Amino acid sequence: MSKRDDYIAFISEFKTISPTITEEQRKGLLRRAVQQHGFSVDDADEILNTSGLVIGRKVDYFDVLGFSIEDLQNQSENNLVSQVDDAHNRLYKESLNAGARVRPDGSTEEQWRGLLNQARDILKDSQKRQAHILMLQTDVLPFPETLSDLELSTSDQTVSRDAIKVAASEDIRQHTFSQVGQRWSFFLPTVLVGICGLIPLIYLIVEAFNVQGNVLVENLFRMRTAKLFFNTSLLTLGVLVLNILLMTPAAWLTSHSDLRGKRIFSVLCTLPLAIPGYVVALALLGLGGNNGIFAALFGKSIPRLSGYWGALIALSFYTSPYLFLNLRTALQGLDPNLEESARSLGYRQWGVFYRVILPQLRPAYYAAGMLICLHVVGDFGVVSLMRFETFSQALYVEYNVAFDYNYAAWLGLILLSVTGCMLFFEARLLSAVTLHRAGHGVSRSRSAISLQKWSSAGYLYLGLLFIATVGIPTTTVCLWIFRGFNVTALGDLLESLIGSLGVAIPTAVCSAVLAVPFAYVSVRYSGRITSILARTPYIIYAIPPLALGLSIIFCIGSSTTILVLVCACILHFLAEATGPVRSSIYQTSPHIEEAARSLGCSNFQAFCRTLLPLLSRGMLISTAFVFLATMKELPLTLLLRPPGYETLAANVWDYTSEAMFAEAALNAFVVLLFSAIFVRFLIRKEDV
Amino acid sequence: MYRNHSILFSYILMFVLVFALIGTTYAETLTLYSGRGKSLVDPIIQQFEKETGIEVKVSYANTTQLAAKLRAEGDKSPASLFWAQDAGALGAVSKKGLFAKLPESVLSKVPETFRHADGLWVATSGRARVLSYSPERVSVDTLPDSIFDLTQPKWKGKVGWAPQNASFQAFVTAMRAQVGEERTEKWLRDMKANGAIAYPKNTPIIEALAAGEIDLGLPNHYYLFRFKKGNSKFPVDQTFFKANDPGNLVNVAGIGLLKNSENQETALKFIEYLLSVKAQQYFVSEVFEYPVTEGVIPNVNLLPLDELLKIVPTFDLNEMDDLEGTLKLLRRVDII
Repeated sequence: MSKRDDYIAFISEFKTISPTITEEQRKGLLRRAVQQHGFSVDDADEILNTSGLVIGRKVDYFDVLGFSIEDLQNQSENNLVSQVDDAHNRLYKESLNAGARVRPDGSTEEQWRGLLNQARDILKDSQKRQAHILMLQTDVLPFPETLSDLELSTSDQTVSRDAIKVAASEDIRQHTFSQVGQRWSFFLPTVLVGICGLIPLIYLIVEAFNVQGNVLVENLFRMRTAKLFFNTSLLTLGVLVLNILLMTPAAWLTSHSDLRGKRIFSVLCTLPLAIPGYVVALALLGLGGNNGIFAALFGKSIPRLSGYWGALIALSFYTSPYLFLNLRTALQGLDPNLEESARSLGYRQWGVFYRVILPQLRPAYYAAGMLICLHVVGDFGVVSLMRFETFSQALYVEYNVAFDYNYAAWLGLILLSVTGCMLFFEARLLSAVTLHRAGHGVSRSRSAISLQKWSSAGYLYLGLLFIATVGIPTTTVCLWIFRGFNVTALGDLLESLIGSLGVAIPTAVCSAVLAVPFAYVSVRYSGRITSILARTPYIIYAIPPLALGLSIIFCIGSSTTILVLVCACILHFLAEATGPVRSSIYQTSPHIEEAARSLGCSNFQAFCRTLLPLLSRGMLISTAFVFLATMKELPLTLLLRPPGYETLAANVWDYTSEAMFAEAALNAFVVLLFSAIFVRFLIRKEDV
Repeated sequence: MYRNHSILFSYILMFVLVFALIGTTYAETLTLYSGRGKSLVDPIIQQFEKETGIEVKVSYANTTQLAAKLRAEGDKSPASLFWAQDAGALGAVSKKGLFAKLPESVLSKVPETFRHADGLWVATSGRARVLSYSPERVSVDTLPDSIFDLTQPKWKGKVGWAPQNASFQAFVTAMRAQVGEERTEKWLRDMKANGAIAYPKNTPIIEALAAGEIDLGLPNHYYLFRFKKGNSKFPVDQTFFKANDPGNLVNVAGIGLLKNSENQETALKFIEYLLSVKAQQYFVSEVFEYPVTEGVIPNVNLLPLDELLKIVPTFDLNEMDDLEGTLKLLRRVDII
């Protein structure tokens, strides 16, 4: 990227926050162009003039709220805050009562209210207030201009502005050199994982081409393959659409509305993660029919779900938390100032949602959509129970029944190319997204939106969602236990639980840690190789777990240990861990790290001290995702666990396939319980 | 915040290391690959451990997957024994030359029909294919006599089968051996044309029968008893076809000793134990399977072994290793 592009990008970021700048800000931008980007003043002026930024009047926030600087200068902080709040409240109410008339200066009341909010936020924050006073008194925007940088410089009062300038100019020399070192600390892990991911890929290709031509033509080029392709696409699309329709309102309600118990509802919406997909499918199947639970409870039988609709509903319920959690994280990370600006520019609620919120949710939709697609495309349990034929179901059948895997490998390769296409399109879509805050200050905590008369509808919606996604499977599991409780099954439970945790915990932690370099590389560096590297977790994720497991057996030959199982699980689930971390990085500005570096941190220090703390929320969600997924994981566990090693999920699989539902239910119940505790713990960690 | 996390993370990492150590320091004893479900065989394995003091480490997985795993591991497999759910998988592993020949003392315990011709594996129990039906919707006297009657128009869309299931495929392999490739293919095509509904496994067939989705089904014989154990009024019954019908196949679960394993003596003890009266009685009473040795008290729910042997189709079980041919056929007919 040329310097010019760099600077223009900076200005356009700036523009998204405030299309109007003051004369002082214009000077600041010019100074930045000269000092940091090395333009001549004329060039910089020309760029600025063509940028579309409008130079407006200087805003005195003290004046806006009816104060002067002296009024507030010598007050105690508490006193000041209450005065500011009072003034803001009074003026805000006046403005609300004023209706739709135009103010003397030509602005609307709504714009005025936006300005009031800004004034309140700036004046209540001592650092921002000082910066504002500085600006008013000196007519100079402090250097450097972005407030994220500014905060660091003003918080460290002993560092004079000149010193920062010197540090910055030294930094320019250092930067190019140390960037290489920094690159490698992030690239090395990604490259290593990439190499591990290549092995199963090579295995698939070798297996696929180890076949005679006529056999291949006979097996592959038949109507069935086309049908499988059609079915898989139809199902994936359906699940995506249904999930977006179901979970967008749920995520919004649990993050932005004023409903009570948002935290509990968040946990409940995340709970389906704790339920294995085949248990959801079994429960939905057990609901209908003459002998179904519905018939037993209400004396009337309803038709059994099966085929496309059965698979669609079961998979949507099962994958819904992926979208919910991603969306919710993104919604919580949204900067409320943006919405307020949009409102002050005259957009109504829907307009704000459509123009401001929705575009910012794109990375969350892409990341979750990707995960959901991969889940649906790779799912075997649900589709086979629902009797809907897809690629992976055919693949699983091949693996289960055939001794040579040529045809299976071909199906695997087709699956891979399908997921490869999805990855490609996701990359194309994502590359156009820049979402971090370019403007001033840290984002303010938001106030909840009152639903008023709609709140009961909100409760009803979340309640119904809960009954459908969690209530039905849980009830079924409990009924199974109830119908045939067997004390002898309790004995194995503890051993299996320890077995499950022994795989799930290390996998979850390591995946979350490994996800950071991947996410970092994918967001901060551009280029063909990096974008391929950043996508390796998804490519590995797209390899059918059975192929992954078998290829590992081929590679290491003899007996497997838990370590091998954990490594395989990490490889497989890394993609699930990358999404949330990546969303978090998207919402942080690269300028924070730059600022830290300019204050003398090494690259690694800068990363650890500025970015890493901001990623902890994303990393926690990654850990939860992978933990819950590993608790349910089947094919890899079945293939790679050492002899005698037991897990809960393996027991559920075993018992259900032998029609011993009571024993299966006990194991499923423990999975559910433990995962639920984990989900609860996770949501509590966050501020709702 | 950040510091707290690093403490938490280091705790968890320690946790990981401990578990990894536990996992790798298990004492080496007897390793068994079991294609039979844990729920079915764990009690008898525990009994064996208690009586002999030998520890058995079991890898449970799908029979065919284990056969593939053995093939991948080759000589380096940690397994001493392979206990499989059907004769086809045992045949495939013996074809690869991975099994050792069993001593005469073991082989002589079971009838010839229940063991490999060269003594590479031996059956441990028998499993029959049956016709299950809904007594609410089908009266006993209108039930079809032969599996070939299922293609009649009156059963259109009312029969459930599980073509992806290994048991079904073993049955097709046997059917090919008994009535020939052409008749089998015609039957499969007719069944498909008659709207047979494909389920992934045996249990969903029985559930679908109870739910009213289908009227007839083709599962293995023992699943129904497990449903009935939990609910004696479970609305499904089962029966056999007429004598010598391909639909009455009795397949076996069997075990083989891996040639390159270390403790073969111990492994043989396990095989002998499975053929003892005690173990056979367990299979009959608890798992509802057919015994392969004599001297076992029959299960009242099951046809006595000598009567069963009168109605089973006659052919050589050793011919059942042509799974490849069956898969080819099923693919040609576009069922899998």
